[in-house]
Amino acid sequence: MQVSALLEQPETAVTGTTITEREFVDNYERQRRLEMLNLLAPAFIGITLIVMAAIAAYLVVLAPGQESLLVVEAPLAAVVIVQSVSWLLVRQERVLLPTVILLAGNALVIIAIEVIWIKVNGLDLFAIAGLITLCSIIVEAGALGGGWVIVPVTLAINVVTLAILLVSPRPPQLATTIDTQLALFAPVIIMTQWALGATMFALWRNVRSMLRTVGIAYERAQRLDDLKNQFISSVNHELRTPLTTLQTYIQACLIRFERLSREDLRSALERADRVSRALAELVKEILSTRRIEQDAVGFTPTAVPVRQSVEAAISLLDLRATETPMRDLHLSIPGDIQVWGDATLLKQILSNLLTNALKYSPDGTPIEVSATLERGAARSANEAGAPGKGKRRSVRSAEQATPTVVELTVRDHGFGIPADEAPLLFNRFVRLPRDLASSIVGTGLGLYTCKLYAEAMGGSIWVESAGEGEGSTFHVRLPLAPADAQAPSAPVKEPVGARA
Amino acid sequence: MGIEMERASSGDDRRFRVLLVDDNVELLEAVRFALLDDYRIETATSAEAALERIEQLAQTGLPDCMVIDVKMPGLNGVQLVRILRGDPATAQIPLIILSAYVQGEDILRGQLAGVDRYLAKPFDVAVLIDAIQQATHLTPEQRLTRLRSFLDDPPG
Repeated sequence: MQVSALLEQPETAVTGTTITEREFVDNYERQRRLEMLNLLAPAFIGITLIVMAAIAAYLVVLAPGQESLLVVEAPLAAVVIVQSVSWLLVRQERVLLPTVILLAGNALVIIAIEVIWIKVNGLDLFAIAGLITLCSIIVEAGALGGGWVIVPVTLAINVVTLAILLVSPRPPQLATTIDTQLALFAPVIIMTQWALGATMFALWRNVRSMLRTVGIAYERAQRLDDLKNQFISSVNHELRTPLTTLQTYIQACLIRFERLSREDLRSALERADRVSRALAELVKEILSTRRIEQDAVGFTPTAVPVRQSVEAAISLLDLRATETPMRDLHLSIPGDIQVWGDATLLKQILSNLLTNALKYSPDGTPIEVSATLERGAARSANEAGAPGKGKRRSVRSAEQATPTVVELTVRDHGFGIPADEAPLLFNRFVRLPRDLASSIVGTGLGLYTCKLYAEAMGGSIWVESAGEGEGSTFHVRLPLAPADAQAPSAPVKEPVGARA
Repeated sequence: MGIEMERASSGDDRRFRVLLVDDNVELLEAVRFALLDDYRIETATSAEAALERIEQLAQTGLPDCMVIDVKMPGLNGVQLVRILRGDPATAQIPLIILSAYVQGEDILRGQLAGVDRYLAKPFDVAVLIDAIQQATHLTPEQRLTRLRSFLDDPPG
């Protein structure tokens, strides 16, 4: 009875800060880009400095007479300064501006080398080969920016490449050769640039989608954790009150011992006894998860008639506890359907589902229970390989191969279940936030038990709900009992229209 | 449904009057049983009922101390404390909170509302008796000084 209080919200409800999957991905990507910028900015600055030195050496030592070209050192020096500033911006968590500066700076460095080479030697094969290094800007754009940034960057690189190829003076003795070769080579360079761009784009998409998967799992884990914390905090509160009552009686008896009459003492002890029993009951309820898990493995499968199980489950319903008024219960179960499993487990599953249906639907709405034969595996393919269930599992696997299963459904016309919360419900101690805030009794163990038992019998359980307020239908699939193991079918009672 | 008879009729009973407010009847009975020898015990199972009871008692004399649970349907204990402190007629009643909420912020919230003591469940009966004794034996001035020191330098 004390369990009823478990779902009342504590005054200080546990409200974890929930990060959505989208925020998770965006946060991560921002962090990643900052990290990349932080690593690459000093590297780029260093490269620019080395190139400046190389150009100076080349012009002074290897190409004497071209010293006037040393003016390119001025814009390169500017690049170094601006890139250094952008590094400072990265330190202040700026992302976009440093990215643009670093990419543009690198492009300028490559263009400077090209310009000098072409000024000295004309557009020879080395100059054309050197142009391919512009592709590195596309790779950098993929690494630093990702996404649609890659497209304009690739386009810009195309334009620069073509401009240099078209405008540059040809070396006099090679002019015709170069022009002929360019007809073939220019498209190759452009296509290479786009191939790289597409690859970087695909990589970025790939990372995003992987992150999204992680983000979804993260979000789910976080919500589960919140729900668990809520449960623990309310259990904590609900244990304190009976414990306090008990302790108060005992201490009061000790303090007042000399002054208490025998009757008073007896009456106090009786009250304390009652409280301690209720407390023990509550603790048992909370600890029963362990027992549930043990029950799920300790049975020998037999043929279990579904109708009898449903009737037994109905008789199990504690109608006083739920104070349920009369409800219409429609049964549509052929008398001869038998599943392969354990009668107690099946009865418990049905009892839990029926209790839920009663609890989470308004007075007067009907509840329908049906059993049908279906073709298909009792467990879905990915569940079938679930590990670690002992040898009984392997004995039963022969039966699982039979394509025919029994599908039980329990349908109510109640409050329904929000689609995104439905799969969580089968976890231990999980209740809908809506129900936690309501006065409906529950520990969050019922559906967990159902799932555990259904899977222990080689079956599966899931829920369908059109949404909140639309009612819910719970489906349980269990293997059909093999024909040679079927118990002689029990005399069939009048089928439909039982009243709970 | 007291466990034993009220010992003295109200007329010549000089014992302090303590009003217990808790929605849990079991605990209410237990605390009443513990305090019965030394105090005249009144009980209320909700904040609203407590306010009603105080109004009834106003003619014969207000409670000398109140012991209040936090989590109750309707008004909670802290809200009750605020109401009592806000009304000049009841502002002087010593108030003790008895709560399962023992996080620092819960205690602080209670103390900011103006309770004299904040006891965590489960509590020692001896500590509760001591708290009631202290609260009932302070003069209004002494109590005010204590409250001020709480507000200036809240513990926890």
